[in-house]
Amino acid sequence: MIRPSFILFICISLLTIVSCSVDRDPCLLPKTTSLRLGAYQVIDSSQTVTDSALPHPLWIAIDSNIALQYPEKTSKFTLLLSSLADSCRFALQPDSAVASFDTLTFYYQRQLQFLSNSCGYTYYFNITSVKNTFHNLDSVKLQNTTVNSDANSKEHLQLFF
Amino acid sequence: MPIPKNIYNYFFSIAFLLCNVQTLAQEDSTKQKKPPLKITPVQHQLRLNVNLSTPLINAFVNDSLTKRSGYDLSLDYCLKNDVYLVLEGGFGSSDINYKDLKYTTRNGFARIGVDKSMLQRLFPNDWDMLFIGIRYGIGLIQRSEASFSTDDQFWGVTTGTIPPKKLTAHWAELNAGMRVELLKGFFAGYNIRAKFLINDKAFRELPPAYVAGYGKAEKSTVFDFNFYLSYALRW
Repeated sequence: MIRPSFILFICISLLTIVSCSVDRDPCLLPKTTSLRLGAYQVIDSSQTVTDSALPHPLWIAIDSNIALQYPEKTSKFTLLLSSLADSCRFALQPDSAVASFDTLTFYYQRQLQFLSNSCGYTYYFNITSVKNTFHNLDSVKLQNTTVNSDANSKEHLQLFF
Repeated sequence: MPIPKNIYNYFFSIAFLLCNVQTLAQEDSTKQKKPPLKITPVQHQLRLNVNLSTPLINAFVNDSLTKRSGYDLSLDYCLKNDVYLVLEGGFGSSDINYKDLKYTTRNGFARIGVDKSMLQRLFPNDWDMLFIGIRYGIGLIQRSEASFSTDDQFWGVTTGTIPPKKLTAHWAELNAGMRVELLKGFFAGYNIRAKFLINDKAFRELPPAYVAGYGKAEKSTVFDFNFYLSYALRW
């Protein structure tokens, strides 16, 4: 005996086949793990820390020869650590008018992180130390050692001029 | 192994619905003041169900980035009170070939459970059924070595591999569906399945994109639809 509901299940079958897809889902998770730095200065009289905007600063990833020129005055920077090695070096020219660079070397542990089948893998980092030259820089302060995809975490490194 | 809380909700909801059906039946019989006419089958029935929809859908949707296959059969045997004991099994594979992630998986699976027909028989050999059911499923999965790459604008491409791994998936299912006898002994029908992965913690590190019998292992709840053609043996 064929019931009316037989028609219903044929309709559902067709709808299901038409609506199915195994295309890769879009990646909805942040993949970039950025190192965030800020430039500061200490006002001697009150010992308060204020932002120190650098005029047209230039960052160079020394081992890859990639340069990052900021066109505006800024005190906030974003860099990417190398997932190819456990350390990487950056050169910082705080003012494009002054040919003087400081080198910052970051030492860290890499941690391979699975995000999802849609996003694949990325690397998180745990910074163990930072070394720098003192041509323009006064000091550096490592505030947050964990570099992951959390864009709202505390700034990682403070640069004092 | 922790069981997701929503499984209990579903199970109790189904149980509650069954109680309601029972209560309504009793009320009707009281009004009519006649004992309910219970039609029971005069034969035993063992039915073989072949899932046609999964291979068909896979044939349509496979592309150069993702290939997957899944085949399954099920057997059901009518016990008392229109309750069917169900055994299901199958196998399948997937081949992930994304630019930044490549691996393959193969798996076999088995499910055991019961279906309860909610349709009153019109005559003893009326085997049409509209049912709800529950299942326990287990899948044995082999994932190959996976290769991955990451890319960033400063440092370029980093590549690596993840070692192969054997995984076991346990899941529970709620089923609803129907079987209609089109010709003597030949049925068509479908199952709608809600699947709940019990050991989802085991699948946090590179869960297979497709597990035959379950679906995407990175999702702890999966909905599925299977279309079956069946043949029944009666004696």
